[in-house]
Amino acid sequence: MSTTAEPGPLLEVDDLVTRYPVSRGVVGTLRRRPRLQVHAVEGVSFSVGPGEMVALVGESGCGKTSTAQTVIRMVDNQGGSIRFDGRDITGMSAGGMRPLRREIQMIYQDPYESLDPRFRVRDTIEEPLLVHKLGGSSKQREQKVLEALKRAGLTPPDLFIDRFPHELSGGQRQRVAIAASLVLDPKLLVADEPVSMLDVSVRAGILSLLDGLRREGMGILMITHDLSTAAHFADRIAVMYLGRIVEEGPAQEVVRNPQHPYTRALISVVPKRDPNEQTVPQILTGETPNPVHVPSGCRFHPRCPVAEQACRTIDPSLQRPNGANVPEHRAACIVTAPGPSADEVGPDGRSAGQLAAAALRPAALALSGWWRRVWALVIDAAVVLAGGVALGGILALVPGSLGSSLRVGIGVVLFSALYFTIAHGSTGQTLGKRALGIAVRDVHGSGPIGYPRSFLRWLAFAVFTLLVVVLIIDLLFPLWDDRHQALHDKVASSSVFQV
Amino acid sequence: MEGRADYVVKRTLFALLTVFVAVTINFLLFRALPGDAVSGLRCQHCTIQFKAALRHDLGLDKSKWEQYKIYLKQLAHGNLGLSDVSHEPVRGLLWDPLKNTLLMLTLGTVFSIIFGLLTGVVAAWRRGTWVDKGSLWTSLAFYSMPTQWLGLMIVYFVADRIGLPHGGIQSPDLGILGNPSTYDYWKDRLEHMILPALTLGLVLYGEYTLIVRSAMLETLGEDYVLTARAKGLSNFAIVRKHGLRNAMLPIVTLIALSLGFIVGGAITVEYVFDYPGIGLAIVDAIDKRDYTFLQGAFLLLTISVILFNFLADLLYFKLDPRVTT
Amino acid sequence: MSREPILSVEDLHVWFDLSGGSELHAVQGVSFDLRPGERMGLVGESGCGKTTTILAMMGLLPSSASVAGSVSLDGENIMARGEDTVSPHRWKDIAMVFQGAMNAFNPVKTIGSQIVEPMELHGTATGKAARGQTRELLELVGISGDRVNNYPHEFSGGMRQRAAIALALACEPRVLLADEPTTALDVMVQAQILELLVRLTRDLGLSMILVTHDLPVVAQVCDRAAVMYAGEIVEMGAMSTIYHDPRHPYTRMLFGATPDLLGDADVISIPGAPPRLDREIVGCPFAPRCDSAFAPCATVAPRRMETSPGHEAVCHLNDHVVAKEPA
Repeated sequence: MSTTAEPGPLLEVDDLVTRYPVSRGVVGTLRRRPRLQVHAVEGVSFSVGPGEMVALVGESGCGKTSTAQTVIRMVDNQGGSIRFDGRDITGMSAGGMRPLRREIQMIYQDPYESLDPRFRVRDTIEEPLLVHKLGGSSKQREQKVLEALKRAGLTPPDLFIDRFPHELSGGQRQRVAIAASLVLDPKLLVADEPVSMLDVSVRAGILSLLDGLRREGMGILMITHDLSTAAHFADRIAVMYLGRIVEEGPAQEVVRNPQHPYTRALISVVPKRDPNEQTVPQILTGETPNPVHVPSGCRFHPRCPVAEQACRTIDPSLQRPNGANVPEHRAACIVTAPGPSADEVGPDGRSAGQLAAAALRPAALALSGWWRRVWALVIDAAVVLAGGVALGGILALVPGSLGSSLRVGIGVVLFSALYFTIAHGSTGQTLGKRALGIAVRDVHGSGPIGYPRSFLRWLAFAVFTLLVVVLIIDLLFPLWDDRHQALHDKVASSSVFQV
Repeated sequence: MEGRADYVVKRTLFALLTVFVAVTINFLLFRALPGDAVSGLRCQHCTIQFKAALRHDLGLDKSKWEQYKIYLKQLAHGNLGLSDVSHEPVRGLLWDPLKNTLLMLTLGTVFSIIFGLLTGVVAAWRRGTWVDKGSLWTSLAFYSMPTQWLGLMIVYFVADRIGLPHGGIQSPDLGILGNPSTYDYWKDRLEHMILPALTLGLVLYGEYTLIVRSAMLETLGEDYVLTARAKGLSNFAIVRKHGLRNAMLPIVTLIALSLGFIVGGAITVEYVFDYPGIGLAIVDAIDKRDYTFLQGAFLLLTISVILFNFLADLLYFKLDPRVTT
Repeated sequence: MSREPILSVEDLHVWFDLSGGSELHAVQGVSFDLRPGERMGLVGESGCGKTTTILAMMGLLPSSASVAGSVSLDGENIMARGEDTVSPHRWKDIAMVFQGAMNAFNPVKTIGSQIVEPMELHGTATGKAARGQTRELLELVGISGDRVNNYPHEFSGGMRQRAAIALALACEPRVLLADEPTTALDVMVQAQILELLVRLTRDLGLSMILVTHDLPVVAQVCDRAAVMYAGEIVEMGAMSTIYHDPRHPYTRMLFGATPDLLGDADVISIPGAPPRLDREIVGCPFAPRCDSAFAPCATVAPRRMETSPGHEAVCHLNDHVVAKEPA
């Protein structure tokens, strides 16, 4: 098991949001049905380092394939950022992406369809070289093709180079597809269910091939529905459910010590090879809900065997659960995986330097889609101002000693404290961010500026309490000063009270 | 179920929109030609003043936009204008040839659909047998024959042998001895209709057989057909209950598409058989430069294509419960 | 399990005519017994003949196939006179859940009407009674009876698979043949369907043959398993014996190539590919891929040996085991 090399991750996905619009149809539009979206990916963060294989595991509809497609920029994201090799590729144009395409290669599920039946093996593997104008002379190209075949385990390569796909077995085809991506010497390989169409007896060979590439330093993001495969070949596993990562950590830790109830159920239903070792399957009822209508709170709660009342409203974030054996293990569940109190420990025990880096991350993030965030801020400010002034106006009518402008000020602060408390307490989204489709939920279990979320809530709560106390005192002791009486009279005689 | 309603609404709107676009293009097409109905007039009293007055009468002095509005308004009242040649209403002039064509076409397509379906289904069912091979080659032959050539062959080699007229729509001797009875009249009509209808029908028969055969073959390879066999259904019941309706889905679309076009495509057949249908009328109008008539005829043909497509959509909707968009 | 077998397959062979005039020997002498209430797994990779075997048992192979051997139901050979002897039993005694069960329903007809169809055909129920039974069947497999008039596309994948099981149960068969019933499904839905199959076979006293490429699924569901390779059963026996004491290298290597969730052992693929079945196979068909092949394997076809009661394998490694050939 390799650990992430120090030079920083190859692929860094932060708070990724991908949605597809759903057509309302003519009738729906006429009837003013709400505009719906498929929430394919909703705030997914993960990273893949060089020499690391990360598996995104989940059932169909969990968003794993959408995540992969967004990462390779085949699909546009609505929020979050994708950094490849230190560069932000989130908003990059097709032209800007082109040189990067050779460094990120994709392997598809179906080797029977991903190869052109009219192309010989040589043509299939040579094509990317020609597209990226890397080939050199035809002799050099052939040399590269032969090398790629050798690396993909098709030896001796002379035997395969002039064959057509129909002359190859399924496993060999998948090796040709891998060779066609290896010929460009990519840094990152995204493999979408690379073995699920293949016979059991050859699957291990393909996976070992990928494992060998990983050892050579390639980063591999594997999309799979098969936990057993992921457990055997991946360094880290991220389990997805309805567009979210619900649990992530080192592969063996996740499958042997699952913390999230979904992961636990999933692991319990994987059939084991040994007939005497079958566990009692913990079968969830129903099927994964439609990602158009995502349940409130924790999105797993309608099917969750341990859901509590709070799960209906609280959308849990990934944090290190108490039951974790290693610090990198995170799960998003408030019932089975409550984290240590964040007030005592820095979030997941990171050092001060890491904390500072985390605090700077929002600034880095702001570079991409910054305007969206600015506008979110503007909307939030407008809401807070309007609500605050209204609250202040009401407060100004209450008899007391404080000046009315001060009361309006207090109203604004009070309202914003309430606003953000509620926003962070439930969905983690303020109105503005929601309006602009920015998923705010922080995947690393800390608040937006690197502080633990509970700290923010505590701060907001403290401000809120303080102001309420001030107002009550002000209300109970109106005659501290003569001025108060005068003010009182003035308020009482104002037209507002003469209904 | 909203999606289902949505489908009908969408298709209807789409059909109406297409008709509107067709009408507009039809208007623009004939306005894009240099000059107008008046500028071509050559006569002694065709002074500039006279032409201006005529233009005023015809509304040609108004802006194109005004003319367009008038055109739409007239169209809404079913007025297609007056023929440039005979100065009779185009609507009336179109009616007779249209009636003739439609009768002949109906005969031809009904023939081709019935026999095409029959042969196609049997060929698919008996795949690989001599029945299949025979019908495949026959239909391929008919499908690839040029219509006019097939028509000529029928005129030369078939018409006289089976005693059917090889041209026109009415025997010259009909009615010589007083008014023919209704029976005699329609019998004569039918006799004139059979050969052009057969020509058209044979070409379409080839096409439909091929379509039906491949659609049916695909359906018979589906898992639910194997399930039906396992459930114990007889071959005939499988074709009838599970095969045909599913195979009909692509067939309906293709047949409707081809029907829309043959209204205009019957030109060659009508020419060969000298059958006074819409196709012959169009040829005639082109000869005589009767633009207004052509405009009306083109509109009719366009709308027939749209109409058949719309009908296919509705039929598809009826046949396939999955259709939502 | 000493009762008389309910279903007995003996020396089943299937050949397919190929276009070039040659023949593909898809099933090469398959024999097994299925006892009442037993769940048996038929395991193998694609092209090993497992699906062809059960389609042959149902008499559902295309006309390009020729079949030899016998399939006996309660001692009566239902293959004796082809379609005439098979059709009275088909669906009534032996029903099937198809591989592409997602597409086992005609998309333009309601689920209910398609379940009623075999009932009326075989006369087990008609009219109102049949519709009532259909509702009950749907409830039995966990679908609300109110959905009887839904179209297949209105069901999710898992529900369609449940409905396909209800369809198989329509005429109250005694034997259920399930061909890859969970292959296209998600793990959780797969677990639901497997649990349903186990519950149904137990509660209704059904016997089941589960055809799959997935060894762990068989391990979870079946009492007994038969491993197929190149058209023949190379090893057959109780599931736990097969796992703990495999007597054919293919079985052992297939287990070795299957990743186990909590296993530590390396997962190793089997080199090479299965032999072509349109040619005569000399010696053991697995010999070229086998890690323990020795002298006789390349030339002499191994015999079927009973290595322990109820456990048989076709491998030269068992030749030294002085064992009687199974009858």
